[in-house]
Amino acid sequence: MAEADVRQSRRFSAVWIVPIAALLIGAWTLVQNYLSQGPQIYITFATAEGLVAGETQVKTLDVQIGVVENVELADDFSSVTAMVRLRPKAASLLTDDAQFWVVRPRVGSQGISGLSTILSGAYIQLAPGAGVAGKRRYRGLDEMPLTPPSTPGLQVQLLADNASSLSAGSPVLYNGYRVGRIEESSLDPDTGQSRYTAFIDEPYDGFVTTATRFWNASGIAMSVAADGFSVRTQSLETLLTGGVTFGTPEGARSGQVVQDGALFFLFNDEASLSSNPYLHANSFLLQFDSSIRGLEVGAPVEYRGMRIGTVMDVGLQDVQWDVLWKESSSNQIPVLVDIEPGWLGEDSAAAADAFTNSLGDAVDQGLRASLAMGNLLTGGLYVSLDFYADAAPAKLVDLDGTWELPTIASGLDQIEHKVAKFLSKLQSLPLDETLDITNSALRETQATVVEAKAAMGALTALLASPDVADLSPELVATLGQAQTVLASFGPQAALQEQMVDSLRRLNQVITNANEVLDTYDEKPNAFIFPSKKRPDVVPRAAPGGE
Amino acid sequence: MSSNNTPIYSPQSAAAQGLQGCRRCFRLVPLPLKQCDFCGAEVSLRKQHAVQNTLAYLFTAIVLFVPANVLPIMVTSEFGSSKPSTILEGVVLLWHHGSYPTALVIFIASVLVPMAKVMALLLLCWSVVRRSPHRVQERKRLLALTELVGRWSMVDVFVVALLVALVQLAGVLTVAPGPAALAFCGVVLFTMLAAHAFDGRLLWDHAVNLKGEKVDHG
Ligand SMILES: [Zn+2]
Repeated sequence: MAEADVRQSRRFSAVWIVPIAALLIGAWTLVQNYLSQGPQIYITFATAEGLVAGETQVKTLDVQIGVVENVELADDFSSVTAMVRLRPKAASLLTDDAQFWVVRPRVGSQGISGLSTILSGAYIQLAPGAGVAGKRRYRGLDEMPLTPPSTPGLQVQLLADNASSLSAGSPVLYNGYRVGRIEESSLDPDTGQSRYTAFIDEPYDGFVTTATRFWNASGIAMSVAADGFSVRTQSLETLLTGGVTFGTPEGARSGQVVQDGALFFLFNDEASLSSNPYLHANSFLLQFDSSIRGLEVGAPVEYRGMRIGTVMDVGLQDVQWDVLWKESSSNQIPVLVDIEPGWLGEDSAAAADAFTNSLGDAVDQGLRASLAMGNLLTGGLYVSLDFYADAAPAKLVDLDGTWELPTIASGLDQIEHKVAKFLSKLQSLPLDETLDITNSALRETQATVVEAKAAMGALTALLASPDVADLSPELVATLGQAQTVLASFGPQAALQEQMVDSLRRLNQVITNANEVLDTYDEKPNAFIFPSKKRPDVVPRAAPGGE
Repeated sequence: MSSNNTPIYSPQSAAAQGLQGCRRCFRLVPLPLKQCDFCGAEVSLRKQHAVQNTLAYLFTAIVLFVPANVLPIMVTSEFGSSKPSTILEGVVLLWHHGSYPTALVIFIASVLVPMAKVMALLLLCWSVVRRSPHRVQERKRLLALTELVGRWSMVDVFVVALLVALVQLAGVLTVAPGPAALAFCGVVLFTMLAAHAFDGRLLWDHAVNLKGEKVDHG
C-alpha cells in the first residue's frame, strides 16, 4: 500500500480572494470617504464651553452641515481652535464674511434663545455671508450677532462721553419706531469714551445723513421749570433696556448720505442736542486785554448773531507771577474756543479745516473776535466774531494745532464809554428846576382835584338828601318837558325854520301890498281899467331952458 | 458476514491503513479514490489548502478588525444630538460608570476573544507550517478552545441588535447601528470560517507517523 501523502498542496488557494476583496473594499471606502469629505475649517473661539470633539454639530438654518472633529488650545493659550469638518455641499457657504458662533442657552433683553441647546448641547451656528467663498480660518463670535452678515442696512459708530445703560441689543428708534439696534458696546481705554456700533435696517437707513443727531433715549428725562414739571420717556422697552433715538434737528440743513461705519456723537438727551458741541471742531485761542468777567465755559461763539462755536476754556494756567504783573499790555487772558462747522452745515473734519482755511482770509480783511454782552441781567458774555474795518492788521497764527484768532477790544469797552458819556450828560441837565416846576404844577393840580372833590361831595350830599329823593320823579318829568321845549327853540329846530320862512313870505307880501297901494294912490280906477303901459318917464328939462 | 469486515481496534490511523474519511457521510473510503464511493463527495486525506485558507480567513478578519474598532458601532441620538461610539469608547464609558462586569464582558467578548482567536489560529498555522512535533496535546486543546469560544464573540453584535430594537424612544433617545457593527460581524464570521478551514489532524501529522507511532525527530 502506498504511503499516504499528507503534505499540503503548494498551489495557492482560491480563498485568498476573500482577504484581497476585503482589502480592496476597505481601500475603496477610504478613498471614497476621503474624496467625499467636505472642507476642513478652523474656528477660533474664546472658550471651548460646550464644544465637544466629534459631537458638536455645525448648523445653518438648523440643518447640520458639519461636526467638530477636534478642539485644541491655540498656540498662545489664549483661545481655543475647533477643527470642523463640513459636508462637501457646505463649501460654498464659507464666504469671507461668514460668521460662526456657539449657540448656547441665552437669556437677555431680547428674550430667551437657544433653549433647545439645554438638552442637546451647544452647537455652532454658521451665518453665511455674501462674499467670496474659500476662506478656511475663522474667528468665532462670542455671542450671536444681532445682525446677520449681508443684512441690508447701515452700520454707524456712536461715541458718547459717558457710559449709559446701552448694551448690545438695545433698540435704535426713529420717531418712536424701532428701526435698528445696538450691536456692540465698548469702552475706549484711552479716552474713556463709550463706543457703540449701531445697525439701522433698510429702508430706514435713509434717515441717517450727516445732519442726523443721535441721542440717548434711555430712562426717564425729568425737568422742573417755571412752567411746571415734565417727564419724558420713549418707550417701556427703552425704559428697561435703554435705547438710542435719532433725528435731524429742526432747522438743520439736509445732510449728505453717510457711508457704512460713519461716526456720530451720542448726546445725553434730546435737550443737550442744541447746546452740545458737534463732533468736529477746530480750536482757536483768543487773547483778551479786557476783563472776561461773565464769560463762562460753554458760552456761545457767534458770528453776527449766528452761533458757530463754543467757549471751551477760560483763564490762565501755569502762570508765572513775575510775568503776570510786569507789563500790563501783555497780560492777556487766554480763551479757548471751538469753532464747529456743524452749526452752519456739514459736521465733518473736512468742513472744519475748510472753515479754518477761509478764516485766514477773513482775518486779513478785518475779522476779529471780541467779547459781547449776552445777557444784561446776569452780565453773561459771549464771543462775537465780526469785521472791523479800522482794526489793526493781524494774522491768523498757527500755534501748533491751535490757531490764534486776533481779538479787538470793542464791544464792551465801547459800551462802557458810551454809558459813561450818557451819564455825564444826564448829570448836566437842569433837573432840579424841572423838578420844581413839575412839583408846583403838581401841587396846583392837587388843589384843583381837592376842590373838585369838595364840589362832588356837596353834590353827592344834595342828591342823597331825602327831599331831592322825593322830588326826583316830578323833577325828572318837568325837566324832560323843559328839554323838549328848549329843543324846539334850538337853532336846528323845525319850528324856527318854519317861522323864518313865514316871516320871509310875510315880508314879501307886505312889500307887494305897498306897491299896490302906491298904484291906487296914483290911479284909483286901476281895478276896472287896467292901466296902459306908460312910457318910461323921460326927465324933462325946465321949460324955457332949451 | 465476513469477520474481515468487523472493525478491529488498531492503534494505527486510518491513513496508515490506507483509508480516508468522507467529510459528508463519514464513510471510510480507500485512499486512491478521489470521490466517496457512497455519497460522491470529493474526498481527500486532509482538507485541501487548510493552512492557506485559514490564513486567508484570518487575514480577512484582521482587515475587518480595524474598521470594527475604529468606526462607531452604534449611534445614540439623545435629544437631537447624535453621539456615535466605538466599541472601545463604549467599554471605557461603561467602566467609568462603574459597570465593571458589563465592561469586562464586552471587552472580552468583543476585543480579547477575536484577537485571541486570531492569534491562536495563527500560532497553530505556524506550527503546522514549521512541522513542529512538540506539544501536540496543548495545541489540540488550543484548537478546541478556539472553536468553543468563537460562538460567543457575537455578543457585541447581539447587544447592538437588542439596543436598536429596544431603545427607540422617538425624539428622546434612539440607537442606530454604526458601520462598525457590520465589520464586527465580518470579524466574527471570518474567524469562525478560519477555525473551520483548519484541519486539526495536521497538528499531529508530524508528531505521529501514519502507523500511529510517535516519531522521534530529535
Ligand atoms: Zn461520502
